[in-house]
Amino acid sequence: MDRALNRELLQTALGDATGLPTPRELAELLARAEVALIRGARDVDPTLIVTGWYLHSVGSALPALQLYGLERQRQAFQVAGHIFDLALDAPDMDTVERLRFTFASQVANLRGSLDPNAIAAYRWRRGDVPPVEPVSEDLPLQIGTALLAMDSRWLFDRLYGLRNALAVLDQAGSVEGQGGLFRARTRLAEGAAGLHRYLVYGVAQTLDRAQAQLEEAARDTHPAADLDARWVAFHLWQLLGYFRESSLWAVLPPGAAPTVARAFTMGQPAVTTLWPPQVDLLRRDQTPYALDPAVRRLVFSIPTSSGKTLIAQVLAADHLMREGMGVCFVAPTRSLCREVEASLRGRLRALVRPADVRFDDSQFIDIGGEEPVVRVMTPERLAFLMRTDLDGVLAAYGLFVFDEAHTVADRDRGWTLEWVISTLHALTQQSDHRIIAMSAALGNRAALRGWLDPTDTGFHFDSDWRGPRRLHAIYTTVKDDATAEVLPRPRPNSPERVRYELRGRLHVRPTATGRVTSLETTEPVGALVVRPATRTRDEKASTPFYQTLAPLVGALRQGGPVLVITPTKIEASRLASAVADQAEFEGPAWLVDLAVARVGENHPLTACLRKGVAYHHASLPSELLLGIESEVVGGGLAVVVATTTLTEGVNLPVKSVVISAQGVYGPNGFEEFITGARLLNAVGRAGRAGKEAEGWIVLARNAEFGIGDFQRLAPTEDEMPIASTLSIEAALQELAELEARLAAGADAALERIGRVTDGFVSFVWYLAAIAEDRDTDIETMVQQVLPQTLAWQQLNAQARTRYGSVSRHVIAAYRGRDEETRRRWSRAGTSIQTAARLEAIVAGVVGVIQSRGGAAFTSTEEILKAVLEGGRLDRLYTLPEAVIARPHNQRSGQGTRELAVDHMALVLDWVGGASVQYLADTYLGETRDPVFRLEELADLTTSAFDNFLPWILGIIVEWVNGRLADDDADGPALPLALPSFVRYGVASEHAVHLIRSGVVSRPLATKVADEYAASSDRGDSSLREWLCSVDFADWRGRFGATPLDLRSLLEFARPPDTQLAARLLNDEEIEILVHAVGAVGAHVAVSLVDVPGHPTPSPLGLWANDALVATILPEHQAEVDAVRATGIPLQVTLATEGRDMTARIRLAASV
Amino acid sequence: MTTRRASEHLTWTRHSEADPKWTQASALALGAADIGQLATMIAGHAVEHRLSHSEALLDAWRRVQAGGALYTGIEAEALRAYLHPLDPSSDPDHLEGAVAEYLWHVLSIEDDDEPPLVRIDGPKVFLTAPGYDGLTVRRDEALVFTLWEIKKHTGANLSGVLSDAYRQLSLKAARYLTEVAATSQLIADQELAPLYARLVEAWIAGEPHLRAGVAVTAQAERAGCFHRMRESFGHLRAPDPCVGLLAVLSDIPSFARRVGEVAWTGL
Repeated sequence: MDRALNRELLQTALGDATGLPTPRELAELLARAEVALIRGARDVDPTLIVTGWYLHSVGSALPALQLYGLERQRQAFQVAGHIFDLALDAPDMDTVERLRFTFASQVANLRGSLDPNAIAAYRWRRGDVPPVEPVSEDLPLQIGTALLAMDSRWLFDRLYGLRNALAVLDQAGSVEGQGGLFRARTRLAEGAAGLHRYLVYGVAQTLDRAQAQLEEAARDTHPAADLDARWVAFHLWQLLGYFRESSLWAVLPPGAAPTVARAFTMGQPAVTTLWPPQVDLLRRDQTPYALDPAVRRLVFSIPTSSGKTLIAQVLAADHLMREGMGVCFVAPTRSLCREVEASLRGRLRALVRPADVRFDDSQFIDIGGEEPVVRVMTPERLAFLMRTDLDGVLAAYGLFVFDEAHTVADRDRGWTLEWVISTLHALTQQSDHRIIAMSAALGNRAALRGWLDPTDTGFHFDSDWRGPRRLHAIYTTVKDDATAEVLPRPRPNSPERVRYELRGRLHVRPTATGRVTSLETTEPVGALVVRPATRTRDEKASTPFYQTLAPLVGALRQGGPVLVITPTKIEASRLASAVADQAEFEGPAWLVDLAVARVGENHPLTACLRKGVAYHHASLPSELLLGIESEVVGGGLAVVVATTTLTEGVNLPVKSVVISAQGVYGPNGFEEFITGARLLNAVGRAGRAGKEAEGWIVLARNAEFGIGDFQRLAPTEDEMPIASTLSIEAALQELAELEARLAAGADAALERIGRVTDGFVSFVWYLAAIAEDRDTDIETMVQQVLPQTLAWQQLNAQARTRYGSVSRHVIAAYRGRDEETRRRWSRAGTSIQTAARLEAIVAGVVGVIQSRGGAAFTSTEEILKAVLEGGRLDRLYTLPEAVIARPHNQRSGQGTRELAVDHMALVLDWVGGASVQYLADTYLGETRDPVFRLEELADLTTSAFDNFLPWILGIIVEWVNGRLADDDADGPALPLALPSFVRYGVASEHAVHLIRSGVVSRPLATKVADEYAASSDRGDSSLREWLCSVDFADWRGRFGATPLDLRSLLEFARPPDTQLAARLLNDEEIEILVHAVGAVGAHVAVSLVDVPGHPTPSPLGLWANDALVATILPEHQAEVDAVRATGIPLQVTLATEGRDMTARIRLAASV
Repeated sequence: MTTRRASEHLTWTRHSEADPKWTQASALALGAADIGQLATMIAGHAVEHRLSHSEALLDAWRRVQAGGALYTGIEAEALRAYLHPLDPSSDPDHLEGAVAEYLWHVLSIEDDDEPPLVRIDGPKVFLTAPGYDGLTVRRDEALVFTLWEIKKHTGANLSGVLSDAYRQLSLKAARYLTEVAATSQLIADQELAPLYARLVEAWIAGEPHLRAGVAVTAQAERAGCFHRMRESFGHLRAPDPCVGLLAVLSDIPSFARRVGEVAWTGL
């Protein structure tokens, strides 16, 4: 249901007005307009427009006149905003009229508390800036729309200059006390500039002055009224209260450093005002106050695309500056971690060194140093750090942020998150550490609160607020009886078959209870062939359901990017190919080239990408997936068909989401799994806040349409329970089995029942180790922490007693081992029985090394053989933690069998840098379908090399080296980077360094590292210094780098201690060496513009009178670019001293 | 002659019994000199309107009109911006439209047969800008608001121009009035402020104090005009919901050019 079509809201907004549609009629008109948009018709009924202006005027009435109630005015603005959003899509509107509708929509959305839609209304103007002069008639509307969309680039580029020019004009035609013809627009420009300055720089007096200027403009009495200027000024003046309340400067505590606010107002992208739930959550005038350091537990739930991440960023930035302690940000997947890292780094550039904001993805213990740092990591990584050095973790981080906290209920990984949070929660009860749990999809929110804040002294916040509206639809197919055609029988005794054309039908219900409008395709979307005698469907001759979706997806893409969620990988690739077959546009050339290089010319993904269509699933190379994600965001790809790994992995908002099916046929019939939180996560991507005011959600059903289908799109909280993995039925069964074995005298450390009991035993073992570390009683520690788990909140007393009893067995088993062994097993992070099995494997490796007689290793291959040969790799692959994919010769059907893979050789080739295609052909050659072969290889390498093997190798390296050191043995230690070699598929530490620094492409990392190693003239240069000595213009060709690669290399190229962006944004002047390409005199003012003729990111040129005189060095480009992206004008002067040319850069003083 | 008002140059014909009632103000009977005089008066009126609150610039303009010292560079630059719609070298269509609006303005102010004028909005700073062209508020027994669309007609098909005017006014009135309502509710007058604030609602509901007006400057007199206006504003419930004004000049292009030349003398 959409709120703007809610009948009560319409009733309130319209009041008892005459001459207008009734609420029912208005709902119908709006619904029709929404449905028309899906059809591609974009003209809006004039009655709607008139109603929109009426509602706008209701909303605009001064409260002092007491004409309408405040609530009615707010709702009137909401509906008006909706109408004008629709009107903005009308074709053939002239620019001035479009600007007027845009401004009206922006005002209505802001005053209707739907802030992102105010930015979305401006979408058409970005990149399409009409020219403007002081006496352009549309100047007021240009100012108003740019300000309300916070188009800082336009405002910095144009507004301040226009303001100055207008002031001269106004001065010439005014006398003391009275303004002339241009007074209104002059004051409007001044007021807008003042308001903009307040929002960006926080100068309160400019806001007071702006208020007076805007009021003067609105009240201008010149008889030749500049009505637009007065109208725009009036609304900006009326919005000042909103700006005062929602600006970053207003929300942050008075004692907060100004740099914290600037990190947002000047960051990338700039954020000057907060959205309603953000304001509600962060407002100062409430108790408890979220930013109060005394509030140590925060739990909040806000829908997707409603600004949850920004809130965490504000909390993190404030914490960093005030507490001087680090921030640990935990996100469930590595791809999300990368995304969080990138956004935090951009955001915090003004506060800390960029190098101090990092996705911690290594195998090493790297908690942080003296300076507060921000580390982004998965729960597993934090678990590893806590097992290794809990006190170090608590000393380094004062704030722990857990994003997507609902994943605590995940069957596979939830327990790790639960014990990590529980342990931190229990052990920081008396300290100042803060824990934030946030999520978009929390079911029983009370459970999470009860867990983390049993005394109810923390901060809780729930909101259902959303910016973009949502339109729900159900897609089905129907056979067209009029097209029945009896097919010729292939054989005389073949049953009769009848063929029908299928039509696609879209059932749209824009209101919760209103009429459903059904749209039918004019062309057939496929065929249905049935055997009338048996009433069965001829599957082979009928069009598969997914294929009938292609025309729908093609139609939806007219409105903006479409994300199609399919239940299986194969359906993703097939549907994408079907959509691509009908597409007539081009995909980004660089991405096509990358696909050719990684998966081959004949791969279906390559063909799809050529048509601007992609598919995305876990069995594709990660660089391609990243490239696809970046192009969907950037607009280069119109359609992406994906499995739910995408919606669970990254935040990729689109205009439309289509769920092609909610499940698949399995042994027990049709099994649905795209439901509950998973469904919510997927459909939550529809409607890009700030880009469009509406998202479309379509659920495709290969069944007859029923009105109840709409309920499927709105899962209730009951369908998204947050249940501890220890509390579910299967867990209690495992527990019973463990209890039985323990009763029979089994060793608690060595029993393997299942994942849940393994996890519980390891946890208790870990608590015992902490107690020992801290010299406290083990039972006391266990009794302190266990009750702080979510499980303890949810289990009944009997189950708690049972787990408690098992914990006593575990403690006994712990005490039964020698101190060194039990501590080592605790750190391993595996199940305790796996740790015990690793002892034997490690002993084998130590034996091999000692047998070398002290000879050093000469290659990574040699090391890997020493560790993994002798059957050790096979033994590792039989550990319960090893869930290694088993490749098959074909997808399914008769003759399907598992392939025998030479895993040892595969590891060696993988680390040796062999291409994915080579590995697939070599190790899975029996898989005939080359596409499936690549997918099987990706599954195999991901399952083996992404987590499992690096993790286990990390343990082996530590234990082996420890043994060698303890025994004072004569043998080479294993390199600490060994697990990274396996994870990243590279054989050098330089390549690992590049990847850990953000370079995603394995071939690129290898290429750059190899060139560096082979470089004869590098001298003492570090890899980074050597890279910077290569002309940036040559990087693309020399390293075969894609645009994404170049950006990551530019980030890598930055000196670790540099803070150019932070210094610039804090109004310092910086001086940097530049690469001279022409001669200049002393102190020449230059402009900073991309060097043409290079694809993005291109070299940054310094230009004097249209002549290129220098370029920014690659080591500075990322920082300078970051400041440039804020839109704040820069003042650059060049100077030559001897052979060096330097640039002095500062923010331009003109603003 | 110089003491006469502009309206006194014109021959007024009141069609008070027609539906809608309309007025014709014709200059067809005037000789060349009187036409020139009228153009000068309209130019002066327009300039004074645009240079309200700009005494220094107005003094400079009068100085040049009186044959005094030429404009300084700054004066000339400012006046070109302030008087831009009257630029005689601009698009003749725009200039003629601007002159039609000022003619309406003069006639509305000087029409003594109408109830007293309380307020008149328009012509605006940008005369070609889309939006309402004028709004008059007169006090009869009660306050009456008339929303005006102003056109000029130099071709053959007057009914086409009128149809356009009716359509624009009826389609766009709510939008025009939204802007007027938001800003004019700020006036200090306690009686007018809420009326302004409710203008859109009142217009849509057709409340009795709202009227539609169409003013056309044409080149021929008419015995009948505005016949079909009521059809476009059937929802208005005022006793006289529609009103027409037909100004007649023998040669609009040359008249407009003359107005422009006077206004822009020395620029």
